[in-house]
Amino acid sequence: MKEVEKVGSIVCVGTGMTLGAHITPICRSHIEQADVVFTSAHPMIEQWVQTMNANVRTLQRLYAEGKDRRITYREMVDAMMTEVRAGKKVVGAFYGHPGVFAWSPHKVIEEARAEGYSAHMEAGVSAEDCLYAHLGIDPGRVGSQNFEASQFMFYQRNIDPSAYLILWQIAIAGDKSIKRFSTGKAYRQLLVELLNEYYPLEHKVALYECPTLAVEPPRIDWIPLKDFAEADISLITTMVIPPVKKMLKNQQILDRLSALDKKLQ
Amino acid sequence: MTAIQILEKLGADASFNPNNLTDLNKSEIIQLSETSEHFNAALHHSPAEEDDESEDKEQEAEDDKSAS
Repeated sequence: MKEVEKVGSIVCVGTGMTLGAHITPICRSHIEQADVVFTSAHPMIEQWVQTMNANVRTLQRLYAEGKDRRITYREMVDAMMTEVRAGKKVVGAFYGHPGVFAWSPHKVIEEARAEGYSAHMEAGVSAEDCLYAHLGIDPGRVGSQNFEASQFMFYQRNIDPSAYLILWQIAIAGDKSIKRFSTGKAYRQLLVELLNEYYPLEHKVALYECPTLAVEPPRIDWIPLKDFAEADISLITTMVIPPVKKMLKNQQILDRLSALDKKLQ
Repeated sequence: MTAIQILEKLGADASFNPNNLTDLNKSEIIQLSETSEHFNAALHHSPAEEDDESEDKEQEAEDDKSAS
């Protein structure tokens, strides 16, 4: 027999990246019908969410320079779970897509479900979605690889330089402490050196930022890789690296596919 | 309309022309933009150490999903 779900619930939704432009009808509806809405987004997006629900609480106050972000993320989960356990209909509204490069939304759903509460996530428009539109990139053309910049530095990854490479959270690249809002030029230079194993220093990379307001243009600055350490970047800047090599045919598989085609004709 | 309502309309309504905004509208939007506090966009972390327990659990869950 199925266990009866407890009264509280949690839905994590995305506000999208640009105010007014990206929120889906179902995400908006969840926000409007919630008993309490927790937000982590640009202050103007948070103000906008306040027009949809009278009980909105920001999670941004949990951040602090020098504070381990794992504690911040844990506190976000705890804040939401406290209201879920109190029997409230809770919504976590996160900028962009709530499940892309976001630890707390996945965690709170996992914990709520484990405790017998209804919990799910609704998709949102992510920075990656906007990036493809603004830069005119189709990830299906040559493929696209996404890494968080620090993870790309900490671990040995197999990069395919015939596909796009997109690095996220480059402003805090190499932050082992998980406490900083910015690392700095020396850390970025190390990232340049790592990338130089695959790409020439003159290779043009894009620094991309999706606008929060519809009246602002996206930031798309093309710079040589070697200039990255000196570039002006923030927590919302993403690096897009176009392919430097052509795709190589896998002749062995192509031959085997031809043999299969012949056999099945 | 408040500044937030105007910004929402600018984002959601393709026929809404920003050139039709009044000087008051524009100044309210600029004021709102200038008074907005710092925004922390990082919602994800990558531990440098592989022996992080939670990461191991996440990896196990991924492996289970792949196996099933």
